Amino acid sequence: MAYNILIVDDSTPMRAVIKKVVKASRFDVGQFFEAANGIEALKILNQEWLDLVLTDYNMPDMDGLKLVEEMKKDEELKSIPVVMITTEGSRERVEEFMEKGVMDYIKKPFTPEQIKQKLMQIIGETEDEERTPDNGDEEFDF
Amino acid sequence: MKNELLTTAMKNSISDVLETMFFLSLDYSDNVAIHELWSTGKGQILASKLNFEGPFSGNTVFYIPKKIALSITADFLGKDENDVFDDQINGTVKELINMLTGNTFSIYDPDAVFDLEVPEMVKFDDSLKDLSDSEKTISIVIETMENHLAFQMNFRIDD
Repeated sequence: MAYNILIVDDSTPMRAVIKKVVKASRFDVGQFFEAANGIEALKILNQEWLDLVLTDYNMPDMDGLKLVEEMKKDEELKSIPVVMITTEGSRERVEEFMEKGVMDYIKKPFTPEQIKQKLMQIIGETEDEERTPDNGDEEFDF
Repeated sequence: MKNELLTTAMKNSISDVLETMFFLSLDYSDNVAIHELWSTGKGQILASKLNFEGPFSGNTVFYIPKKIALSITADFLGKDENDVFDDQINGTVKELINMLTGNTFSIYDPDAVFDLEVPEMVKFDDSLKDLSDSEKTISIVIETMENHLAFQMNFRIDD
């Protein structure tokens, strides 16, 4: 199954890096969508079918945590898994993320292996299942 | 003691961020003042600044030659350097200070909560003027193959 992923980060280069790393991780992606903050993300979420949201925390206009709060208020959006990609690593902050409904978090800086491991955990698949011969891994250039 | 721990955390953070994600080979210089680093001229120097509040408060400043920032940004975007815009370069420099600062505090004290503001670009000369007024400063100068970078933390001494 290919997953549609929304990447939310105010840094264009960082969105490009995340996209590149997700591709390199061989995670099965259908389509990427991008937003520069929580407000833009909500617009896209209300227009497109998304399977997963990868969001930065520290952004202007609407940060990642506020985005999660808004998604949790919406019946259509509240079940979409959200992963926070953040420099914030304190235990208290991570607990706050989880309490607000963030499914998991990835600490910056990250490697492709870390990204893939987290995404696999979230989708509930194993690496072995992902790498079966029929799943189209060859499409990914890494 | 706080200064020593912070200095170590800053260096570890620089290694984590710049080597893991930016693939830069690094070394550190001691006893070099930031205002003297680029005095012989190695092109435009970009500076980003991030204010923070927490168990102690202040700001961090990251200095990087535009040439290096351009190269990293082009690589990230998968574009030729001629096709990269200034706001994209600034995006990389702001992301760098965000990662460096957040990672520094995680290493310094995993139980402490620091609120980081959104990073901003500042003029190189203005940032140096700010430094002369700061009450406590830790500066890390990083050597790359052909140039220097610098990461600085300024915080109130009464914290």
